Amino acid sequence: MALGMGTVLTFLILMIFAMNLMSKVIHRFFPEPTAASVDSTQNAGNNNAKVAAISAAVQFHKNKKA
Amino acid sequence: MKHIVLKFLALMMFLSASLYANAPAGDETYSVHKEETYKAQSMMEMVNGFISSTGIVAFISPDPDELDQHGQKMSDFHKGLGRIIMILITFGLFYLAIAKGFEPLLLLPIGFGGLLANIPVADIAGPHGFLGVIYSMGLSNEMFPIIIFMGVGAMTDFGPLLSNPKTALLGGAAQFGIFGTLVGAVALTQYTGLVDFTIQQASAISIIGGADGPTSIFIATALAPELLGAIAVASYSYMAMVPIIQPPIMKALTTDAERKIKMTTLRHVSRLEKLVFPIMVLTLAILVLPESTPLIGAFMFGNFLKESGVVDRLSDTLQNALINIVTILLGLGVGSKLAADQFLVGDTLAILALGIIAFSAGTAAGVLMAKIMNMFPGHKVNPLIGSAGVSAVPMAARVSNKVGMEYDRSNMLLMHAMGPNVAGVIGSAVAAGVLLSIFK
Repeated sequence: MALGMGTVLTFLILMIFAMNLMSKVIHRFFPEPTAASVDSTQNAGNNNAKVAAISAAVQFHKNKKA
Repeated sequence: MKHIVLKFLALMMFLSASLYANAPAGDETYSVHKEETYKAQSMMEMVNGFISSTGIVAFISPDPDELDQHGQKMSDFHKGLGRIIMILITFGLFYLAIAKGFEPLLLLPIGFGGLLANIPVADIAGPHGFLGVIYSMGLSNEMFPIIIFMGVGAMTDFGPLLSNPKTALLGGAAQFGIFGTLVGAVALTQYTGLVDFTIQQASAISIIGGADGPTSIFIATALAPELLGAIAVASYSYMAMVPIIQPPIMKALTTDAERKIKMTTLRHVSRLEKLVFPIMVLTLAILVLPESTPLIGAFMFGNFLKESGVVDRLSDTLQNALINIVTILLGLGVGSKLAADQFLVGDTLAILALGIIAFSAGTAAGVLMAKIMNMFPGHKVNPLIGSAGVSAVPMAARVSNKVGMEYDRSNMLLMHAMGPNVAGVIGSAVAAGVLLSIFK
């Protein structure tokens, strides 16, 4: 029993250390682009482009009909 | 001289040919004989013959020479009344699954498989019946539990665990149920005459405490295939009864103040972390305990496909189509082990009893571990999430959340409890690897 529990707990403790180390390394060397600002500008840009494309398409359609 | 040898050889050939010719000749006379008796049957005899092949007769006065799956003679009880009792038990499983909603995805196929396995004459669970074929196709070689594990991996989100790694300890502590029960079962066998389990059987039974169906089936087929039916039924029934079994234990071991502890909100986990995590755990498993890599490898494979984000089709298949197909086959295959001669034995009761002890001990150990962790400085842990350390994803986490809400409506523990919950899956896979490496 001691052996079994010992192995399981050792494994998980190792896993905890590894997890902490990994997240530190990742945050140090591969920081995520700060999500909020990037997203909003990208979305805004995308939206503008989309709006432009849609309105152009609608205009084109109308012109064609007329 | 040469002539004599040749003559001798010719004589030998002739003799052997005539000897061989004799054998089929005997068979022929036999079949002719049979045909003659068939022709001589009157209408009455044919009707009698039909009646003697019906299920009613097979239940009341079974074939005295019928053999079980191990080629030994079955007792009259297991052929007659035993089968009727087993069929009633499968009806009980249907009731639990349909009316009570207890793990219907597995209890229905298992129950129906059990129903089919107890049909006399047809021998559906025998080596040539379709249940027997399903069993040898994916259960006796431990294939189906592994595939289920891939699907579970693809459904698991390790985010909550990554954002609060120390909760993994709770998932480890809850595996105490497994090892405590193992020692208990061995002690019972040695010091009392109540049960008689080999060490392999005892470890297969104690894995029920891991509250992880596929792991239980994996270990049971590897260490004690003769107990598979009872272990699988116990394991899935107890997993289904988590909301009934766990809350009293959780409440008994915690104080009112502890139950109201609020945990800090979880930090955001980046995609890269989630992507590296499965590889990292697998690497650790390779280094520490290679015996556990079949389960952990399959689990992490599924998770890696999901987190990679580039193979949505494969991840989707693992999460839905594949796991559904394998669940049907797994359930039917396990059901084939509910044949009366294997299930209606004294051991089954002992397995059910030891199973619930293992399960409760695991729950208690998880809660106590959380209390121990609170003695150290740092963010406090609500002990209610300790019980989620037994796997049973996501039921055990929901139970923690529900009990927490009973004491403080605004205390949302669900995401916090998912951390120990998924760590429990890893923990029971590691425990399974330990058992395999020691006792196989």
